[in-house]
Amino acid sequence: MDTESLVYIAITGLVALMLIMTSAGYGPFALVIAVLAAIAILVNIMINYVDFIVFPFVTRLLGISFVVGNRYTIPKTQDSVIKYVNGIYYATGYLTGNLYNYVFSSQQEQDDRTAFAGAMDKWERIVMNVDFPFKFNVIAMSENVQKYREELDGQRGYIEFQISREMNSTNPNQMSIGELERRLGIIQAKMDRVATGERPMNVMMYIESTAVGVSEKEASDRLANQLSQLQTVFNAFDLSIMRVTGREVYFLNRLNYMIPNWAELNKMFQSQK
Amino acid sequence: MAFEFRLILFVLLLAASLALILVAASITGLYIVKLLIGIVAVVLDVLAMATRYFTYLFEPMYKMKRRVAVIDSDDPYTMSPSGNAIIRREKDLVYATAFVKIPVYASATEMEDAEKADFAMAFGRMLSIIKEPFRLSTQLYVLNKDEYVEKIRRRLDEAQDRYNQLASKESAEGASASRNVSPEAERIRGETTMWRNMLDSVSGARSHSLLSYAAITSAGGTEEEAVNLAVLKGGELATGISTALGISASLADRGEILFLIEPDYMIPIANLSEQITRKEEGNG
Repeated sequence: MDTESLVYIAITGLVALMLIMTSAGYGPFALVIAVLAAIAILVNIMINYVDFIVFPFVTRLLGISFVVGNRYTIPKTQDSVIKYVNGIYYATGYLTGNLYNYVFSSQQEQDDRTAFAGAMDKWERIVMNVDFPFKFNVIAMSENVQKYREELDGQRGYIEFQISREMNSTNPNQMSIGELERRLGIIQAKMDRVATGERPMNVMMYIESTAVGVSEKEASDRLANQLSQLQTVFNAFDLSIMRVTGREVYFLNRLNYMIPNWAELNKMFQSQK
Repeated sequence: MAFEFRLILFVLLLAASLALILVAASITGLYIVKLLIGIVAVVLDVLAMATRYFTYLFEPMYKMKRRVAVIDSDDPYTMSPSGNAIIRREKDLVYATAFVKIPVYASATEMEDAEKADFAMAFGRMLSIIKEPFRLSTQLYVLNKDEYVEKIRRRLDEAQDRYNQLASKESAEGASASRNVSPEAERIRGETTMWRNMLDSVSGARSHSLLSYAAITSAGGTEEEAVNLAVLKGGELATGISTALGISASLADRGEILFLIEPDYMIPIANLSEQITRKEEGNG
């Protein structure tokens, strides 16, 4: 939960609470106003955390579609970008596909090397099993090494503190100590790698596919089918891959033409990154 | 800039909501009016929250006609005059993006486990060669076999013409000769069958190809500045990638860039007509 989200929720929540507190002065409508204000608090929380559900729901309900460029539209379902060229519709949709946790999560470098080697085989099998166009995109940016080291130091210190507290307790839990030691090992492995010259990275990954049709519906249906096939084949990587809907479809499409800086990327893709 | 605008809008909407709540609290009686004021205050409060993610939609939705909101009606980009970058204008800034082709022909099936790990590690290292954010994409696309199919079709027509000519010549002479087909006609008939089989197999199935590329963006006050910076960074990226993977990465040109970003270039029209015909045949 990031600080900015908390600030937004807290401030808008305070205003709604103020309305609830003054609702007694609304006479026969006191309950109506109090319920509306409570709904506003709930909607505000939903906008912040599940906007990819709220936004498509609203656009579908009101039937609103968006023109995002010459010949490009985002339909009311908010799940694809449709390009219209000479009577043919090209629907492009996106899946989250963050493979970053797949690697760099082990305590030994050898484990990561094995995972890497296996990943290549899996990737080739995916490519062989797919017979429609798709793209796998990785947006990468080097992180500040010093800052990263400091963060890891902080995390290590905190876990060491948790371990010592658990060990000094009257009834130490061996399972939680083991888990904490495993996490400590991962952090140490990351620190060792940075020490050997490997640069820490900020990475965002997504999968994109395009389908065609002579009508918008046909293209969208084909796209849905293609994306569900991609979800199945990418399951080989043991990832939770979900279809991107809502405002992030617009921003992902924009990434075709320009790549903003990392701070902006973070703002754009907070929930589905 | 956009962030500041978002904050200003948030504060204004919230202040308006708060003011309405205070106004409503100061009114005695007139419950219907108070209810309406309260509803507007609730809507403003939700709108204030919506500025967190949806500021870019406020103006298009306000100007919306027939339930179509126009965020941008221009082309999403223009090609730079040199053809080695695309340009996008956003507010006061110009962004240019250059593309680097990464010709990787290695396959995991031909590698030992250690080689696979080394290659994958090198690919991972490649991501950290430049401090700017960049996009690395691997694209599976449908090959445009139109030219190839056309060539086979031409060869088939030529072979058929030759066979017809020979057959009519032989049939003119053949009243006196034996009824058997000459070896030459037999050979041309074989050639015709070969081209027909090849045409069926090539046009019957889709062919795909895999391509990797990287894209990097630079902002500038003018188009020239942004394009020059993007091309410079692109060159730097190409050098880094070439060194990391031991390949020869290079900047993509106009035609190649279109192919990387336009969906209609990714799926050639020839394959579409084929797909539609097949679908119609299936329905028929």
